[in-house]
Amino acid sequence: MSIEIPGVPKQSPLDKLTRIDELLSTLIETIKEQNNAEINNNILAEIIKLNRYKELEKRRWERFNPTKDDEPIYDWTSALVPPASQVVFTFPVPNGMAFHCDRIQINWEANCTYQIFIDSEWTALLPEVIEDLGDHYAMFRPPKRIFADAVIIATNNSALSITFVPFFGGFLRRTKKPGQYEKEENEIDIQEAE
Amino acid sequence: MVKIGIVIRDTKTEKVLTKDEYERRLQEQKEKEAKAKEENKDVH
Repeated sequence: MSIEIPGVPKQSPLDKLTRIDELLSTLIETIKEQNNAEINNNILAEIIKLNRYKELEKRRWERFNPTKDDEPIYDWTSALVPPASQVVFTFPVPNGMAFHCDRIQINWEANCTYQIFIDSEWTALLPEVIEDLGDHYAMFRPPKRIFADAVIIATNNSALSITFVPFFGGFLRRTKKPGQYEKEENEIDIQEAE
Repeated sequence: MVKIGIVIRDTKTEKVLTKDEYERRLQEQKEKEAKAKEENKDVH
């Protein structure tokens, strides 16, 4: 389902929510003034559609923006790695939580390779997906929420020992009853794909 | 508080290094780098 909101082509989720509320108020006022059952039915259908859209927009907004119940994550660590060795950094997601990951970041060194696994699935070879942060850091934005763990494997192919410093940022959100959370997330994914 | 796990492995065998093996490699590397530095100094 995709609803074009007239007059405002590009909006932030909050702008959209505000605009939807305005539209809903207008429609409800119109219904009060109208006596035509057919028109009123059409307006009611529109109100239902807008309410559903509003709920999805609200969820989409909450998906990437922490609330007071969520736990912010700004975790980093470091490891000195000798040549011909690799380091595996594992960020484990606690049971019953989902990690809404904003970024995974690591210092970028010559003659080193990087790989990322999200929930045990190979996700990225860092050089292919990084956003160039300039200087010395590579950043990866995971495409989805993380339910089990995020793993970075950094391999030191240089002739020197290297200190790798990974950073995991985002927030942890308690999942709802089993399956419910994923179901809602999937709904949003489907909605976005449409 | 989530604790980030760290494991160091050998690149070729992907076997996890023991603490001793890890420290030995670091020490070897340290000596190698010190030697290279020394040689470099002599050249200049």
